[in-house]
Amino acid sequence: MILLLIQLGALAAGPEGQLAFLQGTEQEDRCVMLHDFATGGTRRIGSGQRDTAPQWSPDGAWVAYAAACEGGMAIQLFAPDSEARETLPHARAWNREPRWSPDGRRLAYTSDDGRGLERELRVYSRETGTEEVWGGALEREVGGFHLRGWLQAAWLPSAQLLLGLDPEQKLEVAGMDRDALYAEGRLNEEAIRSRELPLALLAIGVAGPPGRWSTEPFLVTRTQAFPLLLPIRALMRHAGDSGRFVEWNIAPNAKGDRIAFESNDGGDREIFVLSRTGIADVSNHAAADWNPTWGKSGRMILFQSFRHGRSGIYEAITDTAHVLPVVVEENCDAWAPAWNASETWLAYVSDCSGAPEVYATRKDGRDPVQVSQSGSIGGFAEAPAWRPRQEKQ
Amino acid sequence: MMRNTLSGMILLILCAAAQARTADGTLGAILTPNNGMPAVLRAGESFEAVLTENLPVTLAGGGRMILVSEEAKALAGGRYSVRCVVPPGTPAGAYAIGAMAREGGEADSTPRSVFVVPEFRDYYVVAHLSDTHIGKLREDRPDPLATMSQIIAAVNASDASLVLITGDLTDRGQPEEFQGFLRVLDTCALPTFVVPGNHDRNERHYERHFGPLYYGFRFGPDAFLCFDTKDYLTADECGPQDLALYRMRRAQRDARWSIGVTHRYEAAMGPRSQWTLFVDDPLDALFFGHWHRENTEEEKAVPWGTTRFVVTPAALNGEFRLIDMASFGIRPRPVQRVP
Repeated sequence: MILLLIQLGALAAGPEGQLAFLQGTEQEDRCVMLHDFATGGTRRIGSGQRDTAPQWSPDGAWVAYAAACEGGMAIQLFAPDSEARETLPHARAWNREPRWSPDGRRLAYTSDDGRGLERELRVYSRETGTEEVWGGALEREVGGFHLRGWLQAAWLPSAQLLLGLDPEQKLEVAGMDRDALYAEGRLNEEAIRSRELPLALLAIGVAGPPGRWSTEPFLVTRTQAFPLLLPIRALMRHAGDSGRFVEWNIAPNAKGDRIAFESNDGGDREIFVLSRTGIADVSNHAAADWNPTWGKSGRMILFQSFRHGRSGIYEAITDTAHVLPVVVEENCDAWAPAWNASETWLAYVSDCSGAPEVYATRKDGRDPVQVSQSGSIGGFAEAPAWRPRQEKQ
Repeated sequence: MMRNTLSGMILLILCAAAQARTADGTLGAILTPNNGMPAVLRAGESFEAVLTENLPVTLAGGGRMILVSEEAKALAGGRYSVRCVVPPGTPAGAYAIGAMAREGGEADSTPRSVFVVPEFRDYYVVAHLSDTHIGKLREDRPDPLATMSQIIAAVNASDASLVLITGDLTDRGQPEEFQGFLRVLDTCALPTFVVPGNHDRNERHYERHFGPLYYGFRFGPDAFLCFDTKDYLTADECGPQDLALYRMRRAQRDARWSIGVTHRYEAAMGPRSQWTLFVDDPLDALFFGHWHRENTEEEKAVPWGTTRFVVTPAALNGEFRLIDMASFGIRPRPVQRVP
């Protein structure tokens, strides 16, 4: 009886933990906020200067975001428990899209002087307090691509997939030093056996001649860059497809054995998954599919789709490409899904109230909770991100 | 017909003292259509009006007032969408849109918000102005208001059928600058469509005077997609404008030509919307300004593909251009300059 009551109590309980999100009335005053489900309170933790989407460190101790500063944007760090703040030292004026390494010791981001897409990839070491350029020089040829700049870095969690695609480590593309790639990136069996995390990024490279720009997913180490889809496409006799499409939102699963990305390969924007068996379209619909987000099993992907007319949130089973609706509203939009750590609660953005607000709902859609109150200030909320559980010391 | 005319006469009497917009020039109960985002249609066709209250909607022009509202539905955020039908036989011309006041309240009326045209032709001409910068002090040229007046007079005398004004309408986005802009805008005999520029986005004055930051409309066989790019300077996350641009772009796929109308273009701005508008379903052309000059030979199109640029220099300097729209293509004419 007591056990039953406890179980019923757990079912009746709302979401737990903390959720960061952006709120503002316009782009200039966007601010990172932190909602605590235990207290029900929300507080400002960002700088309120065009803050960008919050990115939690893997241990949940810090949140990183970009914010406007004099002459550009800088990566900011904030520790909610100690109220500590840091601004990363940057060599260039505009720094965006921070991404934590799996061990929390580094941050990758794009960096430029505000002149367009000629953005470098830089990696900041929290141990040394310095940043360095990754991926080598821009405006060079790699694998037939004229590399112009970088967008959207993501850390490679493991070398599994790469070694699965190239077990004998024979990758060969013009403009790349294979040995350096594998050594710098710790992408070899020895590193796997000794449980060293890779030192490699996945990033979207902007490439191509004027009038025919495209984007391509790359594997990037400190001095090397490798067009990730090229060998697979060559095996599938679609090598000519590289450079034709615009790929976006590259996202490895937690194990690193599958990589999801968007592409307009096929005519409209779909979610694709690269695995050892090749590249598969897992969303497959005539309407656009955007923004893949992996579940913790590494087999299911949440994504945004317009297949019912408005933007809704769906889940794809990547093994079968079966797609299920998760949050679909008739006359309004839902987007930006984010699972909590246990995948029992889903945070997302919806404008059904008339303004974009952050909500949390159970996995089966029951008990939706409105987290933000941006409508009351004539504003908007977006980009929810659950705080990872912090391990007790 | 008789009932409508009688109702119209009553409304004419009741609304005789109606102000154009509100006293300070901002939008009142009627958000759209308005004189910066009009409805252009043939008699017998319908349009959607968006209001802050569920009120009857009228058209006034040519000495007549017509009740046009039919069904209304509530929208999220406390607004109302009202389906309005222009009666068959309504004479061609520009009409003010009006909303009857509730008891004790004021009526609302916005001039030049609905244009009834006899027909849409396959060939027509667009007048493109940009960067009027009302409020900017210049020593080398007349007041921007006077320059804009000259350009509008030249456009009125031309063979253009509609006017696009691509942003930086004002210099500092101040209410008095928008009011000056509106005074000159309303001397135009043609439908005028505006979009905001970076100079206009000061607090919410643009929205208070013109409403939505992004919208789409059809003109004959062609579709126009009007949007703001200021928010794309730093906003890489997916937001409501990205979603709306996707839906609008999809809805315009069957158009002969799909034209983007915006203030400025940079390849780094808002990747999500770049893919929607220039990669996945490319617009045929993008009309914009901001540069205060024409585009060069090297600046023919977006770097991603086929969407071609038509860049018009600043109206602040007396410049504008006409663009031929025909089945054989989109043909910008040489830039013209008023003295």
